Amino acid sequence: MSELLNIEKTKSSPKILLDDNTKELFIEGQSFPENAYAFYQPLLDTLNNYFKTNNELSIKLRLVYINTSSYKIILDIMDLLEDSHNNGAIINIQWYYDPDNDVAMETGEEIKEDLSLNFELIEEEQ
Amino acid sequence: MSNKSVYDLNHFLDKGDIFLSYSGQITQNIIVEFSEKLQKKLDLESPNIPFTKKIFAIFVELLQNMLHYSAKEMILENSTKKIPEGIVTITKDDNYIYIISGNLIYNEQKDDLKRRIELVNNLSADELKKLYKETLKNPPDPNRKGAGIGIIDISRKSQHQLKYEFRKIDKNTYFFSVRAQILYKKKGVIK
Repeated sequence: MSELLNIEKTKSSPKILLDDNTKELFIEGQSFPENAYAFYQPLLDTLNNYFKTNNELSIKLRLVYINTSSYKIILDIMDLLEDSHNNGAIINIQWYYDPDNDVAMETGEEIKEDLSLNFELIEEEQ
Repeated sequence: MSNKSVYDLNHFLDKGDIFLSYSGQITQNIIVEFSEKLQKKLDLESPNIPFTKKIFAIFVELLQNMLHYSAKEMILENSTKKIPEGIVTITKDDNYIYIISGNLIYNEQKDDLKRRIELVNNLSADELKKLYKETLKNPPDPNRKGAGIGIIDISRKSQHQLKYEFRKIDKNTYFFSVRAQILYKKKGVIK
């Protein structure tokens, strides 16, 4: 196995790539799908399974814009990651944002506030 | 509508203070299409208009609210699929960008909407942030298609009170409009 999940980017939903060879999760793009719960459910399910056999994950998030319902689910994903971390998994999260994008920066800061996970904010010209 | 009215409407839309306007069916495809148009327009004006991402976010949130909650729904021929309708306009004056949406709602939606807007209008930035985080922790409401936090998010991004109005249309419905405004700081003053 390598790519456990590979969802292509659309105009209103991000690219999602989860690879158990590199032990990386990559989410990039804009997120305002019509039904965010339905869109992110495969990722939640796959991550749940992933941590049954893996104890390490590096996460790169490059989210230009997320709507409120996507935000809520991303917090659910963070909860799942935090549980895995508490069970011994090594988890690193990197949140990339364009310095001109005030919303992406604030979103990253607010997610970080409530987490005990290793969560790094990284400024990046886009 | 008469020819004169179309002329007047065109003149009104052309005056320059209307940045974007749409009235009609609200579908996810239309939201995607218009958000793309808006992004392109904002990119052209940027950096004359800072906070472009906030304007974009409020626009999408208002449209998705209408997608989920508008009472006026077109029923297509030979189909049971209902399509919500609404209007959205972005205007500007010397000081502010205004993002306004309007749609029909059922009587029973009015009190809850009013309560939610009044609540956010009376909170400080810190209180709004607290409410936002608390509401996010609520389990998903099966009666709601969104996360139920759109109004709080709009209020936080606007940093101003939301203006709203309910107009009685008939015995079952009101026309509900809500307006968010963002202080428009000109280039060279504050980025």
